[in-house]
Amino acid sequence: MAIPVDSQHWANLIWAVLLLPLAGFLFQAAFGKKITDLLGESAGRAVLGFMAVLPIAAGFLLSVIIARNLGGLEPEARLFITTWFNWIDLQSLQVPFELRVDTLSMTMCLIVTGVGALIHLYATGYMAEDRDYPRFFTYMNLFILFMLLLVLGNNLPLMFIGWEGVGLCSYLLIGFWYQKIENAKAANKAFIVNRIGDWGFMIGMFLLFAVFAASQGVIGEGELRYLSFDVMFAHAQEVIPQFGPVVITAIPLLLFVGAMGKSAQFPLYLWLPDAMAGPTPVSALIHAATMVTAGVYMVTRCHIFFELAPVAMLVVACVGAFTAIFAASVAFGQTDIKRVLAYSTVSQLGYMFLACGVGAFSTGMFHVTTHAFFKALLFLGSGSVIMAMSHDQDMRKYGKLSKYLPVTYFTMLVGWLAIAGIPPLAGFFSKDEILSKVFSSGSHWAGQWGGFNPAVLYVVGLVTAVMTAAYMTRMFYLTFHGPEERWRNLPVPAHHHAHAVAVTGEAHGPDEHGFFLADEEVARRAAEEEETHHELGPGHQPREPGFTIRFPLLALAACSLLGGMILAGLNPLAEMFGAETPHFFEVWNEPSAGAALLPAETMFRTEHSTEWILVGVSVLAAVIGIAYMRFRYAKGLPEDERRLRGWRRAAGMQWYFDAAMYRLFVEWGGRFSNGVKRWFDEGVIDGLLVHGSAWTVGAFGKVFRKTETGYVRTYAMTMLLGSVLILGYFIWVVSR
Amino acid sequence: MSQNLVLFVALAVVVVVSAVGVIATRHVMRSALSLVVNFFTLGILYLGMNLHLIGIGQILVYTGLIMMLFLFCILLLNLGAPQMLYERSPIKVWAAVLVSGALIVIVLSQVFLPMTGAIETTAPDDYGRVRTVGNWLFNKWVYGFEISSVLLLVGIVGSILVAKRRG
Amino acid sequence: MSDTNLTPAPIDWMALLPIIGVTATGVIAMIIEMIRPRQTNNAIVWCCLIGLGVSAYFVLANWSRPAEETFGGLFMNDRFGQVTQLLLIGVAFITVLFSEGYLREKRVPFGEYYPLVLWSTVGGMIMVATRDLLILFLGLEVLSIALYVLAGLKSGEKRSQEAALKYFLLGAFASGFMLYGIALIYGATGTTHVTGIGELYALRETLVDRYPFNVLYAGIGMVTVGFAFKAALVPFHMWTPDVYHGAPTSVTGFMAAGSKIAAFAALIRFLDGAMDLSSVWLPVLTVLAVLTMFLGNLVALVQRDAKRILAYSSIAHAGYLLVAVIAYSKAQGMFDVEIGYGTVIYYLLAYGAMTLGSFAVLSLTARGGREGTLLEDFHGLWRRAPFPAAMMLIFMASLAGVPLTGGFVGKLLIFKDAIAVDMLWLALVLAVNSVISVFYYLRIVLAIVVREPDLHPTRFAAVNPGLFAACGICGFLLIWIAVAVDPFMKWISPPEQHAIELRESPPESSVE
Repeated sequence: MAIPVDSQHWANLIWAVLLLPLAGFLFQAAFGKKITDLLGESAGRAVLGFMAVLPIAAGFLLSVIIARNLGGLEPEARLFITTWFNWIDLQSLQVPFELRVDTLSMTMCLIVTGVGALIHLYATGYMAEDRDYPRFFTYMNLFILFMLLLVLGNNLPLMFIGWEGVGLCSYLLIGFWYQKIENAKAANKAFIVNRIGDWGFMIGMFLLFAVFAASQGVIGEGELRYLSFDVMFAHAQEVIPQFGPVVITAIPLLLFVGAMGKSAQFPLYLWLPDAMAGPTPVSALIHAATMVTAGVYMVTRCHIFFELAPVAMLVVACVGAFTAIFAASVAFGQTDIKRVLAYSTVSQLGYMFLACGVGAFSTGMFHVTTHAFFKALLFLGSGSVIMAMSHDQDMRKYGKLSKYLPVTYFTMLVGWLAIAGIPPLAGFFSKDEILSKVFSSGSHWAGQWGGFNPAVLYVVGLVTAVMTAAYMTRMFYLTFHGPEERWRNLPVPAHHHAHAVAVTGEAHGPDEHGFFLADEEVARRAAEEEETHHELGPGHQPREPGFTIRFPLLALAACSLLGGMILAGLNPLAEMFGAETPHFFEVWNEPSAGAALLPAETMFRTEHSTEWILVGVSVLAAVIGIAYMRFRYAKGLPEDERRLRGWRRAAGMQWYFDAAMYRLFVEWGGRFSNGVKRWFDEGVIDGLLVHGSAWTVGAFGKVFRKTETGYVRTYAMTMLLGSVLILGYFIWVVSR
Repeated sequence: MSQNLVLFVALAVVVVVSAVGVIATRHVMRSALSLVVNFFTLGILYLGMNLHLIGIGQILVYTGLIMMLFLFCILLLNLGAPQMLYERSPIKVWAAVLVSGALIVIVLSQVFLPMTGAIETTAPDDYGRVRTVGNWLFNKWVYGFEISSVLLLVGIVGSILVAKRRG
Repeated sequence: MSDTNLTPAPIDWMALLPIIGVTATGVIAMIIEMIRPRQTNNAIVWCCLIGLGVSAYFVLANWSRPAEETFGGLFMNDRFGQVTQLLLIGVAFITVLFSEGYLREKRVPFGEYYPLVLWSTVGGMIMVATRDLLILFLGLEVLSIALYVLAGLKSGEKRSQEAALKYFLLGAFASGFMLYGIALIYGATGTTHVTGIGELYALRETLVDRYPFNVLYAGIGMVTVGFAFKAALVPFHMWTPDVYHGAPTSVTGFMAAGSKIAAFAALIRFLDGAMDLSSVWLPVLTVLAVLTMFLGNLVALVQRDAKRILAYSSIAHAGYLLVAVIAYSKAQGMFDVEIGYGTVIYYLLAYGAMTLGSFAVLSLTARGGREGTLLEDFHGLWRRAPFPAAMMLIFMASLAGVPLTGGFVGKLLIFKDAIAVDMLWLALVLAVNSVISVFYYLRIVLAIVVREPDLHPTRFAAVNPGLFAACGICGFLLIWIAVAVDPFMKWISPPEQHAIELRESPPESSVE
């Protein structure tokens, strides 16, 4: 099916899409400082900003051209693979540097470059005052490069490079304002938690690698390229089942562990809320629109492995559903506007996995797309609010901002209604489609999953929909509505040693890995921070930001408003009236994301009347959530918001899950590795063998000190012992 | 044949005992003298194996020259017995004895015992003659011979550096 | 044997030229020191760089010659030997480059240091280019004795003296084992050439009943111990942290990279000869590999000193390398095609580059005769020396096995080899370990890039051009070999094997 492409073919334009951000990255990295030195601060920044947006925007235009050409072909022909050179070429394995142009990768490519270009534009305004302007765009362009490599790469190693690369960029950008201790900590947390996911991905990849390497005879033509997706997918069905049920299930599950890390699913979601420490454009681009959806993309890309293992599908669906409702509940306890959005992202990602888990991969991608629109919009809007409010992110200090920020207000309104699922905005179509597919596939999966009925998942999804509408309404009303401008009631900012002390008190201090800074350092940084920090006060006057910020907001609002209708071709509504209008997005993605083994034709089929009821129910859910919270928050700040208590306090602390994880891994993990050192080097060798009796009489401390000085004779003894064991093995075990 | 064996065993025992003596006595002088005995006996062992050149070299160079230097140095510097180098923990000593004993037992019982009488060889006539050794040294082993000169060079420079720094 | 005339052996000068070149450079460097005895004498540095360059050229001049053993089987002139000799020369070259500033700060006289580094390299080059155990031992001693002295070069520093003494005593101990093993092998086979082992084993049916194969086994075991010491495999690793910590940083870098390259290359030569007995020693090596990987990584987690962390990391890497060696040996019995030959060389190159590079960056803390190696001492390095700090990111990424670096591709290759010889579990152990290792590499990165110095912001040495070049070369190599895996593998593979590769199909699957 894969058509080899000659060098003149239009599909080769994809290389330009990939290389433009690379050029941008190199330009920013090499000339960033020089240009600001040469042209002066403001002119230099204008040039740099332009040069940062340009490659991404140009990439978007090229992607549009490619996607149009691709759409003009027959559905079966919508796949091109273009190879640049042979990257790894060994006797039994070839890994070419090859890109895959198909409908799925182009969907992601359009999102990454389109939303990415808008967010870059936004960032030129948002970061205008930052002293590390070139560094920011260096990282951002690098991120786009790796993200494109992730979605376009046609084999697992290339995808993995993109996967690690976006992780690296995310790490760098979360810690962009590394002077602040929380940001450095958040960056570390993101990196470490992601390593757990990467571990799963790596093992899964290696397992696939082993499985296919052992089946080269079966594969036949193209056998050396067995890590490439086209070869893998074409032969997965005959190769993998040979290795028994354990391998069949282990491969998708391990891959899913990787997806859980990257896409912040329970229990690996921990890093995403903390990642909000990065600049807001970063949160919008990386931690809402693109990178965190890489897990969904990967599951969709490798859907054939998942389809082979119903158990894995069950796990995906359950983890997705649980994450959706868990994160939604946590969002009620947040007072930081960006953290509310972060948990809502986690929750929406749960929805996407729920869709993948029931086999509706294309629907999951649909939600990825609409979510990219409205969540990027919400984040950018929140960034605009945060800028207007002197970088104070506590929603309880806002109120009645609609008066000051009309454009932000209007665009956020669109985003809010979209995520809540009000028709006919973008979020409604994708969310309703997920829910209806979960419901309708029930009869199919009930048989596969040993009686577990996905109706439970449907109910969870529905409750989450109510909760989503509710907490988003809370956020929206706390920020933009209410009778009073609450920041005016704040005390006049006094000069604040208290703040610095508070920061110090919260910090954990350096742990035994040295991951965190010393107290003095923390205090010093906090004091430094204090000097440059403007505080909200009664005299504060919020102002709407400039054009570069307003334009992306308006563009994304338009997408959120109309995107769903256009992409869905108004199908769910039309179909209810008996029309056979094709669902545009699903038809487009059918060749690459349509189920390969599942009976997709029949399993999602429902009566029109049922469909009606389902739509009604989900709209009702949204309306209930909005209505309840509207009445609660329209009057202003309720008393219980001033100090969260009861279940909301617990929810705000993620039901104590984060603290438990910290205790388990950071504290106990440190003890464990210390224990290994003590146990083997000092315990077994020195304590048990040499000082066996001394140890029992309690001279352990002495022993400990002694090994630290490192006596040669002890070392010699160890060597001697090793030699005796080796010789003994050779002579007795082997010669017998 | 058995006469030879008796002689060999006697000399071998002396070699081993004197080698142990080098590290077992507390006095530097005694250990240096043990080394002299050790080298000398080794030389005799070489002679007993028809290796005239090497045997004489061993006695002349090591016993004669190097050990003389050794003794001079010790006398000149008036080195005493270093107290810190003794193991005071009896457990450690026993553990060391145990492990070393295990090694010796393994090697003796499993390597040498089965070997006795398994193969008997006789050396060719010209074995160990000066001419033969020279021929080997400058024909087949010339590469190794030259490399040993690099080894000696490194050794000399290295020891000069170590000595220079102490002074 | 004729009585009178002593015909000298024909000498293959061409093959010897690289070794002669490096030795002579060392001698010339010493003579320069003699003519102009000064603490810092840049003429010596230039002489060494030029001499090493010329020697590398000599290696390349031998490149296209067919593989053959000269000097009556004492010298092996083949692609493996040439590539590893080139690696060793490269290691010496980079050490010479970055040592200059460090020695200046530590007030170590140049004339004592450089000749020893070169001669130590000579020892390694001798080791890798022979299949005769006695020559191998001579090379090992040349390598080691120079290192013993080098480790103690920081006169007046107790830690350095202690390191030298420890290294010397334990090294002598291990050498004893090795020499005894060689003697036993000679006793069993009648030759010191490694092929003798295989020949004897091939004859085992025709030998007398009670032929003492135990002598051979014991010999192989003892030689293995000697190698395990040099390569720092657990439980023969205990000298490594102390010695790496105590020795001057530039020497540590050279020791970690050079002596490990030589030891592993020689180990492969030895195992090649003893291939028929692989069922005997493979399990032992496997156990050593697992122990080495786990212990190295776990203990590295709790260290607070950057040099000690890297010492334990080098132990762990010896474990990874051993996995590659095991896969290589095991594949010999399974397939006709060689697996793992390229992997070992590839990983040795990547390991050499990243280790040398990171020690080069560590050497920046030496200033005015003092040196701090605790993690805290590196805080704020990136402000003071941004380029080396950036390169350090690459080295750490590569050591941890982050994609797009040589370390990642190397680990991937080892992983693939291990799977190809049906040792998936060993491959998984490697993967788990490489995940563990990320944490302590991250700590070094954090110390250098993220943390701000609390007290003395200017205690780092100035970056001199030599160190700059050394970091640049290592960083570039790591990226370059990751991108150009394939051309590199083609380049190092022996010419005749290349031809085979083109003709033959890959090994058939063994699972069906």
